[in-house]
Amino acid sequence: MNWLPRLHLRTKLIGSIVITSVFAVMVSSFALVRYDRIQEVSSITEDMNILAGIISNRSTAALIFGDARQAQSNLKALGENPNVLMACIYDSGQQVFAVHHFTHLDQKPCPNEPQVSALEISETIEIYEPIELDGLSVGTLYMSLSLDRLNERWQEQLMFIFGVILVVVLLSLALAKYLQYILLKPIQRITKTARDITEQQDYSLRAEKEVKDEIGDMADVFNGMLSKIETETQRLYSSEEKFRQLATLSPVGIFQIDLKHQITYVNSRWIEITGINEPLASLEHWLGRIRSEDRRRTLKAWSSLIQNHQEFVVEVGFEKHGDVTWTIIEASVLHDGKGDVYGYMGAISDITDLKNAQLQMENLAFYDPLTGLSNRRLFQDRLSKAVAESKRRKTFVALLFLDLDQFKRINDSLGHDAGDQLLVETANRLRNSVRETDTVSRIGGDEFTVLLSDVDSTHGVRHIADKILKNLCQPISLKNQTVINTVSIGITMAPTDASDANKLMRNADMAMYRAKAMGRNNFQFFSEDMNNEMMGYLEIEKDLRHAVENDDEFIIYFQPKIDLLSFKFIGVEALLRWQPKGKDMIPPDRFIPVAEESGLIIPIGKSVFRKSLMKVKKLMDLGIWPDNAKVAVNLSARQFSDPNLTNDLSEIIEMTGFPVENIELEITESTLMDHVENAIYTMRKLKQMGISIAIDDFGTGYSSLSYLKRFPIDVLKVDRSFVMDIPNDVSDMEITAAVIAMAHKLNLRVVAEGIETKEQVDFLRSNRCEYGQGYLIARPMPINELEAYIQRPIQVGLPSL
Amino acid sequence: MNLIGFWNLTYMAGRSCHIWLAIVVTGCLTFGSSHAFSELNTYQIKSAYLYQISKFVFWPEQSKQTDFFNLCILGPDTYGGNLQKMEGRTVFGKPVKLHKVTNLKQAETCHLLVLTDPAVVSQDSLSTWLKSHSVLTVADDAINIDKAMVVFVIENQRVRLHINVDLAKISGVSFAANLLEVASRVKSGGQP
Repeated sequence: MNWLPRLHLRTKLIGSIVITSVFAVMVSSFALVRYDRIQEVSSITEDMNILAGIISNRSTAALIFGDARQAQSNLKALGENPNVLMACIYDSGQQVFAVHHFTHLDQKPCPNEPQVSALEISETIEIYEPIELDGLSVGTLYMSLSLDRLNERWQEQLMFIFGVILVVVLLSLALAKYLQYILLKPIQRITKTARDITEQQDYSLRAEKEVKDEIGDMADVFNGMLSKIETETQRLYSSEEKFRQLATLSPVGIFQIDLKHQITYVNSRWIEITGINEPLASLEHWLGRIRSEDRRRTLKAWSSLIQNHQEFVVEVGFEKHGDVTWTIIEASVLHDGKGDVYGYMGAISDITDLKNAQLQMENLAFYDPLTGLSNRRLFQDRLSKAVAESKRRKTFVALLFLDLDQFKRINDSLGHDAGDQLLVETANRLRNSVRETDTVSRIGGDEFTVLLSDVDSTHGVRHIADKILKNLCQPISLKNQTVINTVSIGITMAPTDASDANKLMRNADMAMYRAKAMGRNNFQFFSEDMNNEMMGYLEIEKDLRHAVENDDEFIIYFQPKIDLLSFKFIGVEALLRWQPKGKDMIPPDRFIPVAEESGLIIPIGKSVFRKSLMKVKKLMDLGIWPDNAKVAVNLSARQFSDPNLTNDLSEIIEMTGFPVENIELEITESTLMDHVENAIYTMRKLKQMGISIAIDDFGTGYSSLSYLKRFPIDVLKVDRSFVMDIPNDVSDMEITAAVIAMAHKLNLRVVAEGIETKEQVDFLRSNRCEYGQGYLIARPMPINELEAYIQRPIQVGLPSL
Repeated sequence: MNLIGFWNLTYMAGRSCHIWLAIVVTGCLTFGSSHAFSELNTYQIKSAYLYQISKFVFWPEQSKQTDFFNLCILGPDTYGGNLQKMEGRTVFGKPVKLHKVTNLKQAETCHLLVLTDPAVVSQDSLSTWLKSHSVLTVADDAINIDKAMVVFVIENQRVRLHINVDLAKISGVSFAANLLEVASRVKSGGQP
């Protein structure tokens, strides 16, 4: 039956009509013929039964009276029926009594034994009829009827039926042909319309509705569908037109790619951006134009889109004639109406301008505009990377932390222009001192770093550090002045000292401070001691904060000063001692810098000032304190620059009721030199209050004589470092003598610190140094001891003398 | 064999009758039809025929208004007593009763009158008598055809019938057609 669906509907229709008609005719004809035959057989049988009844009745007498002739004569009467083949009469003894054949051919004998009243229909009809008289059987009549005539009739009927069928076939063919024309014509019209639409792409065509039956409905539905398609097509056209216009005018490049990675659509902007002017280029060809640095990333994004349908946005550059066109590519999958992926679509935007602006911004963000060196941010990034790289390559990284030694002074004295010039020159010299692969950064003010990667040993680092020191200390001409600038360098090694960028910076910073402390213009490698020192520093700071809150851990010691000529007591220097609870006493050189650095020096200083005044006031009140003797209190740099200094001091003086003329403040030379103008201003105010001022540690700083002249000071304290080498160091003795002489020239009195030997006293006395202070004279002591010290009989000479 | 076979068949067909009679009748018939004429005497056959003939004869309705089918014999009993064997059987539903009569007057109630000696009645008196009496007359020998409506004759050593339809008409008696068919001679309408 596979052929059946392939047949034309026309053929099927004609076939079904013809087959149905023929089948109907055949079935009805055969049914009729069959019925006719049954009726015929029944009729014949009935007739013959009647005839048999008559014959048997007629033959009763013949049988009873043994008249076989008459019986045969009776049988002959049956010959009037053409169907009868033969007839027999049996007597009561079942012997054939009479027989008659009605045909000359194929004469058969009578059946041997008659049956009792039976009818057999096979090829012939056989009838047995009993012959009775008064209810008693006297014999049997047998008749054999031929069905030949019936069969002939049947054959004739069949022939007729076949004839009818033939006619029916012809008629139904003609009818079917006509019907199929009537039925199929509207369908064919619809088909033709559909075909025309397909060929002409004209969705305005409509199928003609010729009939009002189901096919008419079909035409309506078809037309309705066409209307919908037409509307949809128009919408699609207008949508596509919109898209085309948008795509043409779009500042963004648009592309579409099919599943075989062929570019199926691009707008003109895409061609402009990518520079590919080949229609239907492949995706691979396009991606091949991407900068090699971006290619791997882009391919990964594409493969993720293709495999996982994951849309992406990538920033890639295209190299065109040596320039780079920066773009952003966005792409996602395209779904058809059924939700299946049929391609990819995306946009490409030219972001070159933006990228350039970004690069410029990055430049600003990562480079120092003055020197062109990388700034702190970039430096930290490079440091982290260099450390990671060194770990991988098992090499070392050296971090050099540089701080200009005299920048502040140059900046203050020669102005910011000169300062900037100095920084630029320093940067150039640094650059020239290292390899190109090394990073030189300016990380703030006058702080520079040098990052040396791929270092084998500290030996190479020393070499470079030496080179830097040597290059930087070459004279520089700034505003027609020749200046010599030096740097202090702290060096740390990664990963030996630390692997963490912040820790490395701290290490280098510490080492740099050590270099500063070691007299500047040198380099120091970081050591664990420095770190421990720093840890101690942090602990001290913590304890200090605690001590400031409690205040009772600070003790004031007083070291007496005497007149080197008369050996009379002329005053004390108040010295701070700190003994945290449950701990040993901490020397001032350990905690004072911490207090200074942390700013705690301000409250501590105030406390020292107050306590010193209060304690000495008690001695004054007891009448022990000599009238002209002074109590000298140290002022740190922080305190000195504190704008509340004079107010705070006034308050304490007022509170204690201490006579101002007995107060002396000791300020270090370096404190004064940091901000000269401010220092002069502050000193003047102090002088106005009636406080006398001493310069402490004189000789260690870089005092310029012109400044010294302007300072409203009373006393100059020669630093102990000069005194302690007397009389062994001739140079120091000369400096000390010069200082004393200069002080006298400036009408200043001189106090020599750190006197420990008689020789020193002698030297100082011979140079007319007015006052002395030191262990030889008296050690620092608590107030109660001081009370005794003052009250002791004045000795001519010193106790040890 | 034939007798037993026939009896069996009749019995099986449910035909309830006197076995004896059945044997006689069928035996006669068989005998008659199977050329065994010599084995049965002629009277036996004739008496059996007589009974059979009565079945093919139609009497007027008024003559059937009796209690018996009266079988009368006029003359000597040439049937050798065989007629008495008919007693107990029925004709048109009435039991057969045998009467011996000596004249026609005695035979007024008869339905069937066997003239064993036809000479005792004249043809004319008989014809006249028959006009007022519906009686089937039976006699032997062909010459008696004018007196007997049914005549037994021996032809070709077989008992055959001659029937006088005209005489029967006078008496108001009629015959079944098939009886007439088996008769070897039928006198009717003046024909021989």
